[in-house]
Amino acid sequence: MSVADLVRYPNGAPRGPESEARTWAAPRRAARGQQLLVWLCATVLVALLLAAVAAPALAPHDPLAINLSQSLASPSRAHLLGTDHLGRDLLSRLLYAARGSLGAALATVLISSATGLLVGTVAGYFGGWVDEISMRLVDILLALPSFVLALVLAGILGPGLANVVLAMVLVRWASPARVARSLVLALREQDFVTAARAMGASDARIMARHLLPNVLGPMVVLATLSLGNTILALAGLSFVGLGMQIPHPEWGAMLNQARPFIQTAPRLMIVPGVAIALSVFSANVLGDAWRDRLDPRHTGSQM
Amino acid sequence: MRRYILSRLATLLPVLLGLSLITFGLIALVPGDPAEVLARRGREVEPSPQQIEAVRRELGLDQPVAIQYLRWLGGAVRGDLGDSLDTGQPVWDEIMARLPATLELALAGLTVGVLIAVPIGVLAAVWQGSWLDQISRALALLGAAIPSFWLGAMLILLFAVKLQWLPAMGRGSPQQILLPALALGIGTSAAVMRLTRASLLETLSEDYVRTARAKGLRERTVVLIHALKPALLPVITILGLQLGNLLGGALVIETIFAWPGLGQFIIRSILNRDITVIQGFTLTMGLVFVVTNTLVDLVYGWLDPRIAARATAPGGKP
Repeated sequence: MSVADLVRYPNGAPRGPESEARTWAAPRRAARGQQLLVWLCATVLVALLLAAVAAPALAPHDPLAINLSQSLASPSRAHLLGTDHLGRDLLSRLLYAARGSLGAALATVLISSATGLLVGTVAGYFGGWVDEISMRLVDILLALPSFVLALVLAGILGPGLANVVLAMVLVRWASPARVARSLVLALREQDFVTAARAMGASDARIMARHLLPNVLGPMVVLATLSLGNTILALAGLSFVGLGMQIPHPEWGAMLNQARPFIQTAPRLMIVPGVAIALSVFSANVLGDAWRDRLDPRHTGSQM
Repeated sequence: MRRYILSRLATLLPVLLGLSLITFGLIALVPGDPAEVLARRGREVEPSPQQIEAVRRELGLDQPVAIQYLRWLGGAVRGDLGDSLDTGQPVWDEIMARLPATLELALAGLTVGVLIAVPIGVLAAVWQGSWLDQISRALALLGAAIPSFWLGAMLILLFAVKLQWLPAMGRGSPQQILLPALALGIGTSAAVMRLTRASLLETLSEDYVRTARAKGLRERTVVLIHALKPALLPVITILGLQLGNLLGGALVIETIFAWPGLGQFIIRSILNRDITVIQGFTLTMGLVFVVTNTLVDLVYGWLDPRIAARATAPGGKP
């Protein structure tokens, strides 16, 4: 299995005779359109992240300021996207919500990737019972429905964004761990590792200085690929009432609060959903593009 | 083949054991002393230490963990998942009363997903690089990016509120399942569509397809009979794995469409920390998913004997 295959199929390649077409080149026009799409998505994602960071400067109103006389106001110059049922400015809430939604997703991806990287590297390097135990755990986690598991864990840990992130990490470290382990298994036997060992490098040093840098690239791609799904899962958990608690805005939670007003003010439901879809779309396109660059044989995308 | 079945079933055991351990271990994640948390439920005043101890004894929380686990497992194997802390009803009954509706919705979503994905995936492969191929890629990207519960709300807005063609809520008539199944199915179709396309492109370049063409068979026969059948094999595996997403998606979507499945019930139980219900639910969902995927693997090995042969060959990976 090549590195790119590992990234593509972290849970093992689909069984079957050479299950993927890999020898086709998109027409040049389509390739150029693709390039454009990738740049567009990169811009959108950066813009969303900047908007999240700069929310206090960009937001025209206090996202928590209630003004019942302005309840469910239509878009106007004062409120570009209108207001919600409590008269709070929708645009301001949307901007602040990006912090929770994107921040939690990034935190989830970072922490679960780092955990997976650590576990996988140690398991792959040392082998033996460390490997056996951690990989059995990985097998079990990968064999169970991850959203259901995250839902249950988040529920038990209790509402709150940090608990939801923790629940997601508990479920999601398994896949990067398996990839990191496979990569390390391949690297472990390479000459430069043997050389380092012969020069008296400690295990910790070999892992940190020789293995990690070589594993990092594919792991970053894998993390990017999982960002979209993470945003979606987090939105789902917030939507059912876990995650960010009222009155603080978060995209999934905003959708939940908008439900009673779907007939009277559908924009309350439409706007946060578009924000979610836009960020997931952009993250997925970027992840695909990055993976394709890792292995130019894959011109096309799976998704 | 028998060896394949046995080896596949053998991998099932550690997973089921792990599932039971995770499920049982959930109670350890309840913040604070579980007995105290549980004793506080439904009481207006602070529970006395005696009341807390009574709860602890009643639930067997004073026993060693291993004993607790074995006792719980023994009950679970016999279908005794304890009583709901909220309603006092047996958890098994509560779950079984609602599970069929959730499975029905998940399967309907799967069906819709396949009905959308396979035809488009086939056309995208046959006319590779055409505008239709490009559109299918765009659709797949969009389908994978849109939260299914939000799509559900948008479908309600369009078909139930604005056009008033379809009912927005409830279960019973075929019209009522259409919108939630569509909301679930579109997300599923994204992954299935691209895999169908990639898989068919692959088989279309096989020698036996060239042979079929050389015999002068019609292109339609070549694609649909010779190439598509083997191309759909990997798709079957994906369908099993998609079931996890479908079940999770169904739980959330049910709350939007007032679908009387496990969704609203389990979310209420989760927010209420009804730990016995949560445990029973986790076990049931895990079982459904694990057993389905084992069955998918077995069917796969039966449809393509090469898989079974490779899996049981010396040095082969199951």
